[in-house]
Amino acid sequence: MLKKSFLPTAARSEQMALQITSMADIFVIILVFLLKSYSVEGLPYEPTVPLSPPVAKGRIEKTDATKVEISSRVVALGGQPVSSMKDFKFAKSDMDSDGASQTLRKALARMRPKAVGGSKGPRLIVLADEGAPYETIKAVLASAASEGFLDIQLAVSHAQ
Amino acid sequence: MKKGYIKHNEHEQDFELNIASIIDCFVVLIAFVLISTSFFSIGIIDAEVASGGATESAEQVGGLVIELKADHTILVRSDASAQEVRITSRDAGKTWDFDRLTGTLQALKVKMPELHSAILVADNSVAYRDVMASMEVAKGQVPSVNLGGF
Repeated sequence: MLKKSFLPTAARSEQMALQITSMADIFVIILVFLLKSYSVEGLPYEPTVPLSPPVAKGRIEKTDATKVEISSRVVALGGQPVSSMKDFKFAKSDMDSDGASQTLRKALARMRPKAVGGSKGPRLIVLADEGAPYETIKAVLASAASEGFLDIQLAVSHAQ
Repeated sequence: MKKGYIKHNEHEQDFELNIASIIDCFVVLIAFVLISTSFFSIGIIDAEVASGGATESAEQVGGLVIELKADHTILVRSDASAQEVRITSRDAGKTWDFDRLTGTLQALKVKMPELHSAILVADNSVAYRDVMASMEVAKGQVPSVNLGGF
């Protein structure tokens, strides 16, 4: 019964004509929907290292700033890996007495003249994996603060 | 060139769009948009760095310190109350009791309406997701929450 309704009633010929106009309508609706959701749900960002940031309700702000990314194996600054880690831990030889990473500090010092300025100095956006221990976050923030990056913003995966 | 859009009959004014190619374009666009969803959308949370030790910084900003312990206990210290508030985990150290944290901060706001900032510190092993979750809860009651402990 159901099968019958899908078959053309007077279709003796082998050719089948698709209703392309309705298909185009559907595609347009899908496209508009995807483009709208793409533009409203926050700032699109593609991390340069594999990481999954924590989900929170962050402010949507189109700011340009130096980004430091923290994954389980590497810390990247401006898209370039600068410090290697093992399970979110810096090498002991890399840590200085202030709890900062020496390699990250050097990279931040190189980056500083080119960094975008915020209200309190050069701006830095920290993008870390949700599983990173606070010890690692502290080390990165201490490195940033010691190099004069005091306008620090934390990037989160924007909650719906 | 023009001929391609017109039916072979030269005298006929009607023409047909080649919808198949338009659909091709749409399919490519949709594929592109779907692939680009692998980019995640980010939101920004301001986090001033409270350097110079949590206690010293807390004195500057109103005396409220929220401390996350490794056993999922939250300690809240402030000038408003002599004793620190200890918020223990509801299910034997597995989850944080953010509802009680909200309640504690609301009670402190009643005592100290001028309270506008807090310092958030955490044990070394506390995961970043938990720090951010507690920061989000604290920001609901106190406008400015700074990270401390270094």
